[in-house]
Amino acid sequence: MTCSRFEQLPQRNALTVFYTAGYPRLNDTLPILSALQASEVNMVEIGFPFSDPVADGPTIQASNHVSLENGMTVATLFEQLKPLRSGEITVPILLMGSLNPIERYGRQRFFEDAAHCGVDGLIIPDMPFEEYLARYKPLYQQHAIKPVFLITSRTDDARIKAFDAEGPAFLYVVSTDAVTGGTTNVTEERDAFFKRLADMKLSSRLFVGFGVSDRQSFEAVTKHTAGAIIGSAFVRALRDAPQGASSHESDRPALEKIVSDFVKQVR
Amino acid sequence: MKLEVNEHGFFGEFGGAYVPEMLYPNVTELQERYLEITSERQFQEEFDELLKNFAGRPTPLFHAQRLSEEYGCTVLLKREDLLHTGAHKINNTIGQILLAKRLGKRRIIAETGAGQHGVATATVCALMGMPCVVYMGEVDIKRQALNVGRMRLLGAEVRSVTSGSKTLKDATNEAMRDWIANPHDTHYIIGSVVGPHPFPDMVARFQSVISAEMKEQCLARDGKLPTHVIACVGGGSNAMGGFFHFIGEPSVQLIGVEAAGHGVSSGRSAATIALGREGILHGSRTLFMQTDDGQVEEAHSISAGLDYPGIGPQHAHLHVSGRVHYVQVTDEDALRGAKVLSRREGIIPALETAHAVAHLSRMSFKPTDRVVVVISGRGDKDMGTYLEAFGERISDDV
Repeated sequence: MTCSRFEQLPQRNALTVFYTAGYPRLNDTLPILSALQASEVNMVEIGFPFSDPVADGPTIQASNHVSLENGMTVATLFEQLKPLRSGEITVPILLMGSLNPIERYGRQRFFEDAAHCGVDGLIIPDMPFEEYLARYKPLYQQHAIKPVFLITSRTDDARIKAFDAEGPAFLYVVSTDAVTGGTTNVTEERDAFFKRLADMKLSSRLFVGFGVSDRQSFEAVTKHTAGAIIGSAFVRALRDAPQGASSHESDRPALEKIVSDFVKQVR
Repeated sequence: MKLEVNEHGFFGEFGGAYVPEMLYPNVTELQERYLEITSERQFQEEFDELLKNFAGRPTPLFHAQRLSEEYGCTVLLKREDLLHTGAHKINNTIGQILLAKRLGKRRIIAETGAGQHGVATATVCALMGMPCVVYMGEVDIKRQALNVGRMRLLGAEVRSVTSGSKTLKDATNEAMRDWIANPHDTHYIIGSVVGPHPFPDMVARFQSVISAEMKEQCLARDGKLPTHVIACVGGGSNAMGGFFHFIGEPSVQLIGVEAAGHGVSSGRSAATIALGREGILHGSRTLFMQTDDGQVEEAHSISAGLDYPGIGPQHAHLHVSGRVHYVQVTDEDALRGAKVLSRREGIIPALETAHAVAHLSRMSFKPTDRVVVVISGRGDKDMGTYLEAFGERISDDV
């Protein structure tokens, strides 16, 4: 394998977009990916659906549900991704999803197929770090797929350093550690967290996710980090576009327009 | 055998804490402190006092003479249905609210299926003056209107869950999302022996008072342990409570009764042990009903409290190790069980409990057998279902 595709990421303002595979229509997975690359998105995160995605908000939950209704499975996703690297797609790609579909498909087989398709990273938010060390780390290494670890303002330094030492694709900074209804100043708390991260002199890139939805929030968080991840807002754009979920045929020009309009609003 | 949780929260291969990083600090705090807090003398005194004078413990062990005659053995009923709020659920919510107070939490959330755990949580929150939000599936809200009213009267906010199958599993997802969004001030009172470590172990310990009393009552009565303990299993909390102190007593046969719905192979059941496969659901590695693609399947049971596609990790382990024998009872047989207990002993059981009662007729006993059935809850909440199912024949004998 050639050197890691993550190395082509810019040092600042890297935009990562998340969407759910098989949404709005089963066969939209690759066309959306091409359109995102054409719009100069720096990295793409593709979610594989789960019936009970505990860490996702209503928009992504609903997209998981539609995707499953459309017939998406892990096997179908790998079928769709097979031609990925034989075409024009050069952007780094991560898969993201719950542990159970991976375990049911077979851990070893999942990594083999992902590597075969040219997937660069895999994010499993409900995998405990101990499970990673015991069962998954060798698979990541063997298949040259990079892990990603989530961190929040309540993750202690020792734990963040342990994640950093694993050489992840990046550390996924969860920005909205919930202060709903509280009197805490969100910006102050966030800035304190970023300062703590800066002081730790980590070797991993930081990407902020959760709660990043537009140019304003993108610019606010990328002052401190290598980039940000936009998920729900993009899935909403796919959902709400007139040519999106309503049509049954995959309409490439329409999808490309939805995607490029969305990316222009952010950057 | 012994049922002990290891340092990572596993019972054999099952359990653990599969939570996203956002919940890691909460779960770790609980893991580090639940044993220390619950073994404090003051905690235990407060817990015992509330179990006794608020909830009404100890519950009687009643010798059911007519059932004994019918089944040719001694049938003993552990009367959890006589507890305050009408089911065993209150044992756990009293324990957890005392723990939440010691952790400095100021807000309580819970999930509920049949509404019994929701009512038990709303009750202890009223008692302690703490705000309470209960997540409940839209489908369950409709079929358990009485319990929704009880929770509201007690001051809890009942939030309708419209995702997925709109039942217990989805209410559990929604409660976990609330906890992710409110990690600082909120404690999540899980109602069964499910969820990430330490919940299964902690809830089992709070419910173990059931088997502690049973053991004492059997010894006082007969000078011997029972030969069988039978309990229904949804997530499995009353069964864990009823089995707990007998797991290390090989002479006691332990039987868990799960809901077969329309029949184990009908595609409309909640027979987790019969149909489930290993995977990760609601924070633990356990057995649950899932598709070949690893998607959680929707459960069905006439009883909202058993309508859950998974089972607690201890039960998965007790099944695999062979210590507990799990059997399945259909909706129809459960209805018959409810009628048998009503007509023979003057006790209208909850539909969940009716599954355990129904299994008696399928076993053969020796005259010397002493069989304890855990009567986990009373049937008031299910009167609508009974009226609908029996119709004009409600007063017919069985």
